[in-house]
Amino acid sequence: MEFGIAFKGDLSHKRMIALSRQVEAGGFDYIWFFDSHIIWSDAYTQIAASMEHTETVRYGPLVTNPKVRDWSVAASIFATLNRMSGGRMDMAVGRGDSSMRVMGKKPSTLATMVEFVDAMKTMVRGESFTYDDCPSPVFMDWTDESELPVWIAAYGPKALKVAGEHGDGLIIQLADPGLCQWFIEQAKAGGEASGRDMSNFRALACSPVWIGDVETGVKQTSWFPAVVGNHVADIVEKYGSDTDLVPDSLTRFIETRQGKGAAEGYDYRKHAVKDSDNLYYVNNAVTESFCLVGPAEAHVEKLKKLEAAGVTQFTIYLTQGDEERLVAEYVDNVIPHFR
Amino acid sequence: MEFSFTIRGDMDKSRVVAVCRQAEAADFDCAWFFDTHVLWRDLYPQMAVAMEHTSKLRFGPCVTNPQVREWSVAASLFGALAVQSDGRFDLGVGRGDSSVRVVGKRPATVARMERFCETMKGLVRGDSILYDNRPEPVHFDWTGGYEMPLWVAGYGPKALAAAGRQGDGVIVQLAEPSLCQWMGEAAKTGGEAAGRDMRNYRVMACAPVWVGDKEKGLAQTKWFPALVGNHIADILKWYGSDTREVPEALTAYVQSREGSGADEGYDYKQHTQKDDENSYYVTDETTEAFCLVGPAEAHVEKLRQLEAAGVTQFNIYLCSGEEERQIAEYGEHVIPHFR
Repeated sequence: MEFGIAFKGDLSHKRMIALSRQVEAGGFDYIWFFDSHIIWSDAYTQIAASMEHTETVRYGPLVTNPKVRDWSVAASIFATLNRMSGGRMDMAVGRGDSSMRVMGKKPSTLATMVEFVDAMKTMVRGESFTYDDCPSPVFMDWTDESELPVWIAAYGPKALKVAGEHGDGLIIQLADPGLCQWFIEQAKAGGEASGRDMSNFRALACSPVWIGDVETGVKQTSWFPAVVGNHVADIVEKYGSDTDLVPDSLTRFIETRQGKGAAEGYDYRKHAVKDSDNLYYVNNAVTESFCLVGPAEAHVEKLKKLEAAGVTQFTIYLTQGDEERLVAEYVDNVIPHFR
Repeated sequence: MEFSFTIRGDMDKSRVVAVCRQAEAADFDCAWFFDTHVLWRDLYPQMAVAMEHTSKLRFGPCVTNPQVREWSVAASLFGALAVQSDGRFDLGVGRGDSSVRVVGKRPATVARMERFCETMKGLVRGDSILYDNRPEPVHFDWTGGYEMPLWVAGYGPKALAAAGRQGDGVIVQLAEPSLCQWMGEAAKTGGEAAGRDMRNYRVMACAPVWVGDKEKGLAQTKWFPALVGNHIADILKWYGSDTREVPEALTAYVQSREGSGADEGYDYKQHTQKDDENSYYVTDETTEAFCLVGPAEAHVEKLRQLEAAGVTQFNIYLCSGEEERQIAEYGEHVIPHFR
């Protein structure tokens, strides 16, 4: 199993750099950054600075989307970071959430996301690409011509199918083993139906963690199901609350959520903030199932279950306090069980 | 007089870092980067890395424009870099040239550029701003209220007046003393007409340099008047070839340029390249007037004239060969005369 961390982008620059070094020295494989440029500072200048202090760890946005940047601008950033780091850049992409909604914009369609994935891979490879927004083809003759690994974030059946058809891996934003297994199977089935060999398909589960007593841990991480709940609310709006196309355990917890879809009933200015008003409907059982809380042994046990469910990378959302300690605990007491 | 240099994005990261360290030690004040993300690597990750290796040197794009990035995306980059560098970030803005023309897009109007300037300063300061009919205002709460120094590039009367109204300084992309004087005055007049106190207004002249044999220097820097010529061609297109609103010294040399406006008669794929086909109409006399070539004493002498003409910062376009040597020559034989 690979291990990663994700920065929200609100830590001081010096702390972010020190944590990057700590993470690499501790044997983590990935450093991801949330890409939400209004709520937090731009992800890519932070990635560039962090890369300068590491040698092996890989990087990427978790997640970017097709609507926030002109596609040639986005591709130039990915190709530049890849070249600067000696090929250590991945891209994770979704349809667009906080970076769009905080401006009152909507996520993209799945079709646009698929075209975006193709555009990024093609331009980073150093080939010419033409897209709607741009009169002339875009061609960057200076890239290192490498293949950009792409991960696609999904919850609903259609997005999962697309992730299997077009991604090198799937991003699952929760860490419940049963749900992860269902997501992974859906994505792999989608890929296989399109004739792809899915034997090396990767699956990343991400959530906040808390090593310590369960009660404190649940309190520290209960903001997370509220983040997930927006996506689930969108699915319920699209597929209906009584759909049998998604597991009941995914949709049930938002029955007491107010507002239709992601755009209602949530304040994106308080996105991923502990103790915010957004998490009024989140109960302890859901928090425990979506996150990892408790003593280190409980984390190891749950990660073994996630591994058995097909998860190949676990990424910690490093956003709710005690960041250095949590990384140290994982390095000393969790990661060694998977090496 | 302040000294700075501009890096073209085809330089390898390790060399960018080394040049910035060398220049900081040689008492340069600012490192600028061309912002043209399709022709060369994206500049902002490179800037973020160079900031990690310096402590006094300031940084900025020379120049960005309102067309290439969505405005909240652009402002988030600038705010992030200001935070990462502890307030060492300036912004240079123009209407848009190579980064938009190479993909077939158009520069912004002067009015739009002015709105962009106000929006960038405001967003980075932490103001809540509604722009371009967005459904929601954009507000960053993480910039620490940074007051971003702003420079505006211009050649024609309207752009220069805008530079005076919006900028903390004007960027003059050529180093001919009398033209610099005329442009600096035009900007100051524009600012005064808008009721601003222009006593601390800054004027930057930029050009490639060659310390050494003059003839060789002319060959190394001849690409530069061809680049300037595009802007002049645009001015003649808008103001008419017999206009009296700009000095004849500025327009005379493009009479033998072919094509109307910047889009015709110039291959942007060869932008700023030595020995390009774009400079067919450029004479040695013009090159000598716009650039700084010859032994170090000649540079000191011309810089004295520029200083007398009101120039407060001289910016070396560092892409005419032997880049590290040019920095070293300036550090040892030129800059000390102005300190």
